[in-house]
Amino acid sequence: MSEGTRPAGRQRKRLTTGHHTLDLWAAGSPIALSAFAFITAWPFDTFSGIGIFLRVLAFALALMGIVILGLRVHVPNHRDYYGGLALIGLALLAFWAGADLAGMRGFSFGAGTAPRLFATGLAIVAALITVSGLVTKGEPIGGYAVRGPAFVTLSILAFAFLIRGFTFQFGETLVRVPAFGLIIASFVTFVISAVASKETRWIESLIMAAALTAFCVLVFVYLLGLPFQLWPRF
Amino acid sequence: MYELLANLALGFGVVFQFTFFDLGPISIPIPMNVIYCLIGALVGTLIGVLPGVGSVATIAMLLPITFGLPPTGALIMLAGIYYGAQYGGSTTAILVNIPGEATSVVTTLDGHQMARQGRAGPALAIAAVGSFIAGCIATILVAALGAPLTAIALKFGPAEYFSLMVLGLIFAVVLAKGSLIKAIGMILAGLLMSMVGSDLESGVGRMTFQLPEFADGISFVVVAMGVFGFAEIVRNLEASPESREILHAKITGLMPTRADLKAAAPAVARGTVIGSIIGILPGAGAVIASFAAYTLEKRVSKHPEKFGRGAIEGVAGPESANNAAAQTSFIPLLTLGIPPNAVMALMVGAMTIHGIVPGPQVMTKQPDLFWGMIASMWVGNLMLVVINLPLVGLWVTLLRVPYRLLYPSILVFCCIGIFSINNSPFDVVMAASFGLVGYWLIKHDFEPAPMLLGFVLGPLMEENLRRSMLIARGDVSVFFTRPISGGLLALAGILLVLAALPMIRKKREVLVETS
Repeated sequence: MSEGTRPAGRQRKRLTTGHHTLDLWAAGSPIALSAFAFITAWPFDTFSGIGIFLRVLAFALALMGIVILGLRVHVPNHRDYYGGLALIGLALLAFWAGADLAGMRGFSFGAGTAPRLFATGLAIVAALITVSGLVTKGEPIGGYAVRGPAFVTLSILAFAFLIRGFTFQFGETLVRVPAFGLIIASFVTFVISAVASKETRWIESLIMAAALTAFCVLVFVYLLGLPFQLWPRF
Repeated sequence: MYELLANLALGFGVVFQFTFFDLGPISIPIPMNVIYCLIGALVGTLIGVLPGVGSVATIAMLLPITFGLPPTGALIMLAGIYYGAQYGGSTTAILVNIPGEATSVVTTLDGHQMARQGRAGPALAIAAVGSFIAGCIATILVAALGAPLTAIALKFGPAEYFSLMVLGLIFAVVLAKGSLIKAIGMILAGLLMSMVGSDLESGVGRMTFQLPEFADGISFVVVAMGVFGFAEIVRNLEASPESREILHAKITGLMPTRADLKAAAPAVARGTVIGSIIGILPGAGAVIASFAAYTLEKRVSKHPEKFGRGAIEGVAGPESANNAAAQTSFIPLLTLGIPPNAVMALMVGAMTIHGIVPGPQVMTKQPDLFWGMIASMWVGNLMLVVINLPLVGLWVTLLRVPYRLLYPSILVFCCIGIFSINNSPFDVVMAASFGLVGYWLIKHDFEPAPMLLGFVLGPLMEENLRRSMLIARGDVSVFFTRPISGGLLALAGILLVLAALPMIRKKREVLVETS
């Protein structure tokens, strides 16, 4: 592991009490999800299939959280447990975002039928994965690196915003950031992403950034004739 | 037989079509499609050789360079890129001990040992020649099976298509690494994400959060690039620099000895057979093919103790098998329109960009495109041998470029590639978020490949499910009572049960551990 990694975030709030440990993350996550499940269930009729399903899911999640909290259950397989919970969250998000979509009309599918079908399936499978996280042993998640993902993401975002420019509302005024064009966008992306590795040597990287930018312009603009704007336009 | 030859002739006719370039007094005939294939194989190898860039990322990155071409030329170039990327993966496996992708994992076992003994040349040569022979035979197989399978496919109704896709997804689950249930979860997550965007029938925006950018749905390339390209870079940055150590031994002598050839020839033959059969199956065909070929070679060998210490059969068998499988995995795509793995899913994306909907109608409506592509497979394999043997030295130099310079370059290329597809900065932002998703998936032992497959098959599955339910007037039993559909579903069920059985589960786990 590189220096950029830090110990797993899950271990921070663990108070040791005898043999068992109080794991606030493990108990809090299903309770938070349960609240979300109640919110998603709101627009659906209480006695419709989906309404019942979501409410049962919400109660089950709340119960699980309370049991983990009360009995100080130790979660043996964090990868499965949190992985399953996250997928339940994704399924709930789909129910929530697609609540306005039409369901079945007679024999014909509405716009919302297939998404709800898949979301229901995902919620069930995700619940099984979560349970498997409670009953099987697994390796710890390991540390998340911060430096690598942060600067890689930042550099990609920099490309997205520099290549076309963008506008945003700041209070009353509309701020407009101009399009910087391919040359500046490529160069800046390269430089920001180079920060992600601690092996980077700066002079070498700057030369490479310039060379790669020139190469990209040559290949994409001159050889392939793609319509890129090269320089900033204000 | 006669028909097969006529079709192949048509294909080669398309590939070797000459375009005349006027240069004043003289005009030069140039076979443009061969040139496209050559360029594709060349840049495919160039990118595929880079450590940590698998064939999915390679194809996604290089998609934009095919945009300006006519559809046939573009697909031929893409096929070239695909073979190039595959071969590039083997090159890194042998020279650096880093498999470019899962299909060349077993190649590292003996290939890298050979390289350490100073026999990198023969290893690379055997990999290329074995791949070429396997490619030739698999091409003929694709051509021979194409027509009859298409005929069957035309008899398929929506119920059969739906069941077939279920079977394909189950195959992907069974053949995926790691936990079964997690793979199923990934598939469902992919299916669900594919639902974002406008509904085909009513035109209503689904789960778009009122964002106009989501109206067309999430682009496949964005997901692929995020979870395979960006996440991989982040993961490599986390790995220790020693694990990316590169072989500094000199490569001398490319030619295998007579004894090498004698040992490798039967291995190539066996690998080809195994690869061709397994490749047709949906799921991670090429990966399993190479593992199966390696196991078989070890079992039939008179000196099994040589394996893992630089046995040439251990390179020849798996390399032939994965190339044959790479080839035959085009069969389900071209005849049924169903992508059997992530790479083929990307090909679907590419075809759609060029206005081609893959499926049985391609063969009947655009025979020149269909047979041209099959012929170009053979040409692509030939190119690999022609380009790669002399250029091995160049690839080695490329491998010596340190990762600290390599990954920012890959990143910039990916950004330009994604942006140029729709000229949309939003796509780039989405890809960045999928990169983080991919990193999270790696940390939680989820395989991204089944998710990608689900993502591609989602809209197709929904459409066929909708149509069959409408035709059957809401009767779900139609999937079980129609014989072909019922048979396919039964097969899917049996597979799933088998994979969950303790005995076979153990074997799967062993397979996962070796990789």
